Formats: sequence, structure tokens, C-alpha cells
Amino acid sequence: METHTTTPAWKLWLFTTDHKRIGILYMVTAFGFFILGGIAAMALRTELFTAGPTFMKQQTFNELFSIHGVTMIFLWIIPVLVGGFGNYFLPLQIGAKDMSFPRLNALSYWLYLSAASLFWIGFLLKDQAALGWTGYVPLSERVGTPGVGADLWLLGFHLVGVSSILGGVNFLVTVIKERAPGVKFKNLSLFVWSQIVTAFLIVMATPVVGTVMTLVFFDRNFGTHFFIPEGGGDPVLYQHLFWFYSHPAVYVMILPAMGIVSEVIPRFSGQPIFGYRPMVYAMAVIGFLGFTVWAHHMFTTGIDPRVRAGFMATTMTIGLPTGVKIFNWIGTMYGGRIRFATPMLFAIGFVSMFTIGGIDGIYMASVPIDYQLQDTYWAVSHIHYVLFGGSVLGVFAGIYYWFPRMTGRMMDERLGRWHFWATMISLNGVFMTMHIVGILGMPRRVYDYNPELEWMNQLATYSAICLGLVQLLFFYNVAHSAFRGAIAPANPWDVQDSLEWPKVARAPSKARAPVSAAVAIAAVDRVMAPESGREGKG
Amino acid sequence: MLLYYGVIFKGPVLGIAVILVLAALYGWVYEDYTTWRRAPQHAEEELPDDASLMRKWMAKPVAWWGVILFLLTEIMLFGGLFVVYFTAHASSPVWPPASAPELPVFATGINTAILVSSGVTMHVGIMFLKRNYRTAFLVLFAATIALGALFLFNQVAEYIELFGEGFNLSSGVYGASFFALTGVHGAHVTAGIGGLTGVFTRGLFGQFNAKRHTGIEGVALYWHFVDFVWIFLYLVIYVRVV
Repeated sequence: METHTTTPAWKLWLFTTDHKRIGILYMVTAFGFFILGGIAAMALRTELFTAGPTFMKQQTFNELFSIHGVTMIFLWIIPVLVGGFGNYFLPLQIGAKDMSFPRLNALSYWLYLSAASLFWIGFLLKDQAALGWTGYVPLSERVGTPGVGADLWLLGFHLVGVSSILGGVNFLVTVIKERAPGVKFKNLSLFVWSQIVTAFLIVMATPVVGTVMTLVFFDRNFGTHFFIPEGGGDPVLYQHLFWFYSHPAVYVMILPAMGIVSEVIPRFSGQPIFGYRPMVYAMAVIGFLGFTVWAHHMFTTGIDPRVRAGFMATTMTIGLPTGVKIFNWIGTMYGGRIRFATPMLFAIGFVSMFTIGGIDGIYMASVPIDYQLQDTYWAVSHIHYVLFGGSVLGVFAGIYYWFPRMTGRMMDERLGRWHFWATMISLNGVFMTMHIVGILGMPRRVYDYNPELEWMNQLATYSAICLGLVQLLFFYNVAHSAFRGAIAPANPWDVQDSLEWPKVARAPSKARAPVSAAVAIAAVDRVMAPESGREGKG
Repeated sequence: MLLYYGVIFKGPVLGIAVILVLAALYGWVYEDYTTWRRAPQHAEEELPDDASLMRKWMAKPVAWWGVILFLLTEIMLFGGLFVVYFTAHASSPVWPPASAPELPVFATGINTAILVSSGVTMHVGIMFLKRNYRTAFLVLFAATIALGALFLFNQVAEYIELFGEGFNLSSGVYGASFFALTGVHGAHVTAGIGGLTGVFTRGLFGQFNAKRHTGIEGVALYWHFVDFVWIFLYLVIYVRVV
């Protein structure tokens, strides 16, 4: 970032339209919500330490698991992967000076922040919505939740959707129009491809959920009967429309993380990615099939058995392109000279944990098995293996990998390794245990449970507290490295084939860093700085 | 609880929000107004006539692509509303419900013709602009705005009539989906009139010419979309072709 001697720092950040600054804003805000959502999760696990009441009221428990879900999905994973990494690195990797619509980009960020305040303000008003993250009718109708908290929740959902849509449109236009000469679609990086598919999913799916949330808001406030059976409305329709968005949304949450992992693995294996084109096709197929599987969330709602069979088939099919990706990552590592630096550890962690989450997803896709496992802790465990074991480990891989590019300093390797291994062990402690208690029949979202399962829940709680606390290693590492870390070489991972790293001739091994990162990055940024007057859009 | 409700929605927060939105709108219009000469030209019009369609599309300006993708999201938004309508239709034994009043098919047909003709006047206006006939362009755009406003006026009149017959948002899922579809469309018409008035005013101040007309093309795409959706709406809700 160029230095301004006159403009105060707060103004630079508050009024910024620079994609890198907005990316950093997104990341910092999202990590803040990661902490808040994590605190909620630890409180929930503490409550589940003993069967029966432990230390909170049932209503508080409901509010906390609702806000945990909403926060982790809409205020943490999607913003950090799309808003954070996408904003920062997509323009750099295609050689663009900025996003196509820089002002719109800033608007996306501020709408996201407003939506976040709507989701959380209920706690201040002593009227927080307790709708789960799904907000099913009739619970979210006036008859189920009379308070204003649910209205705020619906508006927040709507607003975060608008923010996503603006971001998605912006990303797609940027990729179409702002590529540097020579950057063709056929040689875009896999990270950029993942962002393209993600943006497409956002653009196609989010308006539908915006519609459905508005309709529920109308049901609550203006006397309509869209989802109320008394007036001819259909409650199951809500679930169809909701999952038409929210199933593609899980691919919004995983695809950018796959993109990051596809960046990291080849760089640390010393080989190019195995099967570039199949990787791109796999992402496109996942994106397309993502729209055809939504009703697998609704097998127990009494929809037509023939429809269920169709959705079972499409859901199982989506395992194929995902399998292609897993095998290609392994193929990239096979026979390579692997450097086990922290980003690579997290990338390998992603592949292994995501495989577990993917395979138990295929179990659940089977209708008869789903009848047994629906709404048990198995489902909770599945979503956490793919979202924590998948997306969040992907985020960590990305942060460790790109931290030198963003700050010019290295993160501490030793702390990074501790962070990785402690995270891996405790995350399996929580979520593998949840698999088992799920099969044993413990329902999710319930405050009380069968006392026979108490010791397993205690294991999960201890692991969850550990999982929360070891993240402090990461936050300490980031805070310390950002100001006191070792100055990074300009191209610390020796990446020769990606535009976001300055091209530095491979130095002889003894003198690896002839030019400091700060100088080299400043040079790159100067080349890519926006020229004055190109913002006009006529 | 009502106290909190009032504080959030009716109190100073609402005032601040309105001020922020107006300030943002002002900034947007101001920037467009002051920088229009620096806006990128239509590179696709410089290409040879036999250039491939893909090449021409890729050369279209950033704003054109932005509007196209925005309209994709709009299609999905109306798609969601149509799904609600069709689901209610499919699950009702009698459609429309016997208690619902007869919709004014003929009067709304005329209104449809008004809206479609506004699309035609706008299109011809842009053709004139591209040949630098500025007066004809301005007159035709004024006509477009007037026709759009007339459509909206008729729509409001129809609403008042239907309200008078006791048909409103609370009239079961039929009333709700009728008013949702036509109401959301009406909101789009209102926004379209706003956009048209914006480019028309800029035209009055001498902006836009044969080479630089991206802003107008954006509004035009949007207005054509609004027309197009209305034809669907009319055929489905009033004529009931399905």
C-alpha cells in the first residue's frame, strides 16, 4: 500500500475503495465474528457438559446455537473466503488494477457490516431470534416467534444477501473485463476459477433467498399468507426455496477454500497441479450440480418418493467431481518434493478432513439412512467436518501462505505447526465424537440428552474448549508477526507462475533475499496502482 | 418490545439510514455526471462487422456487463416469486379462488401495450442518439418516461379498485402472490422511471453522444427487462395461459 503523508489512517480505511484494503477489512471483521461465533460454540458445549440444565436457560441455548450458525456461515466463512481472499487476490492473480466497480465493492463490505449488526443486535434488545440458522416456518412466523428479534434476523439475512450479490456481480465482471493482456480463461489460476464458480452460484442463488426472506417478513408484518396454511400457503415451499439458495451456499463456502488449497499444494510439492483442466471442469460441475440437490435436506418432509430418489441420485453424483479434486490433489503431491511448511500442513489437513466430511455426506444422501440420521448430531458432525475441517483449514492455509504478501513479514513456523497439530487433534476430538453420539441417536439443537451419552459429550466439550483455546496461538502469531515478524523475502515460497508474487530471479541458496519484501511489494503495487480517472462508468 | 421496535425502525436510526442512502445516491449520480466524458467508449462498435459475437461481447463496457449480471439476479428474484405463485396454483382445487374478484384483463391489456410501447420509444430514441439526432432522442425519452408514468398510474388505480372490492395482501395466498408479483414489478417500474429521468436530465444538459452512451444502455437494458417481465406477468396472472 502506498504511503500517504497527509491523509490520516482512519480515513484511508473508512473511505477506501482499494480492493486490497477492502480485502483486509473483510478479513479482520470476519475473524472478529469467528471469535464471537466460537465463544458461542464453547458456551454451547459447556452447556452440554452434563445432561439436563448446566448453566444457561433453554431459550439462551436456542439463541446461541442460532447465532453460532448464522455468524459462522454468513459473517465468517463466506466473507473471509469471498470478501477477504477473493478481493485481495483475485485482481492480483489476473493482473487487474482493481475490481471493476471499486465503489460497489466498498458498499458490499459496509452492507455486510450492517447485516452483522442486525443479526447480533437482538442480544442488546433482549429479544434475540432463536430460529436456528435455517429460520423454518412456522417457527419464524409471527405465531412461532412474536418478538421483533426475528424481524431483525430476516432483514439481516436480506442485507447480507444484497452484499453477496453485489460482490458476486463485481467479481464476475472483473474476471471478464479486467484481465491483463495475456491472461486468458484457459490459464487462469485455480483460485480464480474457484472464485468465478462461487460468484456465479451467489448471483444465481442469493436472489431467491432474498425473495423468500422478504415473503416471511411480509407474512409477519403485513398479513400475507405465503407460508401459513390457513390462507392456502405452503410451509414446505419455504424449505424448497430456502435450500435452493442454501445448498449452493455450502459450495460458496467450500469452493474458494478448494481454490486456496489448489494454490498451496502444487507450490509445496514442487510440481504443477495434476490435471488442471479436470480441476476446472470439476468445479464447474460441482457448481452446476449444486443447484440440483437441494431437496436432500428435506427427505423427511413427506415429499414424493420419486422426487426423493432423484435428489438422492444427484447428491451422490456430486461426489464424483469432488473425488476428482481429491485425487488430483493427491496426484499433485505424489512423487513430489514436499515441503511441510505450515500452509502445506493445513492444505493436507483440508484434504483429509474434507474427505471424511464428504464421505459421511454420501451416507446421508441415501434416503433410508437419512431417515435415521436426520436431525441428529451426525448431521452436525458432517457440516463441521466440511466447514471447519474443510473451509476453515483452507482459510488458515491461505493466511499462512499469503501472509508475507499481505504484510511483508513471515509468520512464525514453529507456532504454526503447534497450531496445526493442536487444531487437528482437538477438531477430531469434537467432531468424531459427534458422529458417534449422532449414530447413537442424540438429536441436535436439544438442550437435554440421554445421560448415557454424558461421557462422550464431555469428551466433545473438552475437545471443543481446546479447539477454541488453541486458536489463540494463531491470533498471537498473526498479531506478533504482523509487527515483529521476520521480514519476508519478496517471494518467500519461490512461486514463479502466479501474478500475485513479484517475479524474483531464483537466488543462490545462500543469499535468498537480496531485496526486502516491503520494497518488492511496493514496486508491484506501484505498477498496479489505479490510474486516476478510470473509475468513471458513464 | 414495541418501544424497541419504535427505536429501531422509526427513530433516529431510520433518519440516519435515509440520509446515508441519499448521500450515497448523490455521490453516485454526481460521479457519473462529472466523469461521463472519461467513461470508456464502446470498443465493440469499433470492431469490424465480421468480428465474432463472443469478441463483440467481451469488448462491451464494464457497466454493460454489470447490468447484464444484475439482471440475471433479477430473473432469479422474479423466478422465486413465480414459483410461489405456481405452487399456490398447483395446490389449489379452484384457481383463482372463488372469492377473488375478476381481474380487469382488457384494461390491463391496454396498460401492457402502454408499457411495451414505452420500450419501443426508448429503443428508437437510442437509435437516434447513435446517429447524433439529439432532439429526437430527447423527445422520445420524454415520451418513454411519460408512458412509464402512465402505466404506473393505471396500476395504482387498479390497486385502489381492487382494494375497494376487498381484495388485498391478506386475501389468502392468491392475493398475496398477486400483489407480490405486481408490486415488486411496480417497484421496478418506479426505479426504471428514476433511472430514465436521470439519463434524460443528463441528456438535457448535453451529455451523451453517438460515441458515449453506456449509461443510457444500462438503463435501457433494465427497462427492456421490466417490459419483458410484465408481459410474462400479464400472460400468467391476468390472461392465465397456464
